[in-house]
Amino acid sequence: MPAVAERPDREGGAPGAIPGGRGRMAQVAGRIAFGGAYTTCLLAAWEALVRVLSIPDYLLPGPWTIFQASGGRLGALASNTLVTVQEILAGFVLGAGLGAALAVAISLIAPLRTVLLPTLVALQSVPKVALAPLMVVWLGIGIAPRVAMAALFCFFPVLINTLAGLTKVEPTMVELAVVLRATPWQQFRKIALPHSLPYLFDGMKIAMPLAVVGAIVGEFTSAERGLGNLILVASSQVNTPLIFAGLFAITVVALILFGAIQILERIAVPWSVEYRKA
Amino acid sequence: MVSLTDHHPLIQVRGVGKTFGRGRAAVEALRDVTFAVQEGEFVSLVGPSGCGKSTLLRLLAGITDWDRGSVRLRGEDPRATRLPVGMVFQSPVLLPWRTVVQNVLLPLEIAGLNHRAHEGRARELVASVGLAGFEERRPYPLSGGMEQRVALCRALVNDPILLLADEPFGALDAMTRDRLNLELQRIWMATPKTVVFVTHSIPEAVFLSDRVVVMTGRPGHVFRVVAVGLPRPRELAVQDVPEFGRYTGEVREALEAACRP
Repeated sequence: MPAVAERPDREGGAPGAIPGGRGRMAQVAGRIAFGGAYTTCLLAAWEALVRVLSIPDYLLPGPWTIFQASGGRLGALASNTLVTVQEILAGFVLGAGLGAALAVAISLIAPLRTVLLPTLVALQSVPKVALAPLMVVWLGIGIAPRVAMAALFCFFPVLINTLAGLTKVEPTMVELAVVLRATPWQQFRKIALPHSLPYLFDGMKIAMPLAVVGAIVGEFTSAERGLGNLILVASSQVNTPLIFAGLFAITVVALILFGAIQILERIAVPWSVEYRKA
Repeated sequence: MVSLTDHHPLIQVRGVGKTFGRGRAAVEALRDVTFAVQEGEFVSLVGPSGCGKSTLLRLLAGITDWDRGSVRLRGEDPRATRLPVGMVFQSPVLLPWRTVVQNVLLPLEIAGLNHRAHEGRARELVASVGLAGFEERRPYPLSGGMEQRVALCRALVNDPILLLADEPFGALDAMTRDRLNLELQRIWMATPKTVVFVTHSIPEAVFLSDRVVVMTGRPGHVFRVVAVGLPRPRELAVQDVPEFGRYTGEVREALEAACRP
């Protein structure tokens, strides 16, 4: 019987063609150009406002003043940024890793879901910011309490999202596994685990900005280095341009780390990225 | 191969009852269902929606338990048997992270067979349903018809003795459906296997089947069995033959009588 292949419903005709391959670069370039122009306009408006209204620097410095202040303290900014990035990354890996591992454990061991999960949810209700002084008491004044704060902030969103991905497998997929006589381990390994990956990445996308918050809060509480500390010191000296320079640095760090997660997602779960676009 | 005698049917369903839920919320899905399917037979289940056709198929697949009676595949409990059974669901249920070939190979992987050795067979199957060139694609850009063909390949790859299909082509357009029915008949004739096919299309049931089992509405019960004597292989044009109309008429009448309270 001659079988004629239908054309796919959605994008992409010939086998192997990358859907929407062409025009994608142009699209990205356009977005970058727009973003650049938009940012320039905003900065110009800010500068104009500060000058026209003669707002003093200690209240609201213009972008040019902030730029100059940054230039003068470039070394300090760079070394403090490095410290904060280390704290964020260490905390993120620790918190997200622990969250994902616990999600796997809870999904596999039913009693944990009834005992451990409610406990964790209850603990989650403690305002984490308020734990910063406790971390200092427990972990001293080194990098450890800040890493712990970042990890605390990351842990829960990754746990909950990954757990959802592991347990909310479509019932039909479970039925398929039953028909195929899959063992519980095979169900986990071949269905639940890959199914959970997009959820894990969703969790990490929520967690990464929170790790930044955690690290900065930790630095506010106890630190002699880091961007949080830099901001604190600048504040005590009423060096508002330097505060802004610190804010700018931490924002750029947060954006880059978030982008890194997105890139990692594209590499690790390309099927999910395609699936959502379709 | 087991001999094809009436004494040893592949499927033996006796007095099966199934109720979902309890108390006032209880829904009796099946009541005293009895029928047998011989080795190599193609049998369709038709009935009003909610008559328990899908539930019955799930019992045969070992997915669902039953409350009363017995269900046997070559004398074994379908929930415990190691006999290879293939199933095609209403939706394709492809794993979106796997390519077409990887999806087709899933049953072999789970059976612990070295799937590298069987990859050739998987590719042949994929090509035989007209999907050559799509082996390394993931399912997301495929149309519903293409996805359901992949699901069919997956159900067939471990050479099951029994293929269960739950309205597999119900969501497809008429032309795609016709084509897939032809392919299904070809595959069934090429390799000896038994098929139980749930559908709500009377012409589809008559076209494909040796026998059509007509069920009553809830609770589901076997009302009548219509044997279809059309010669094989059947072409699509068989649907214009008066005999075909007689069979569809017979099934339709049975279905109407079954729906009458």
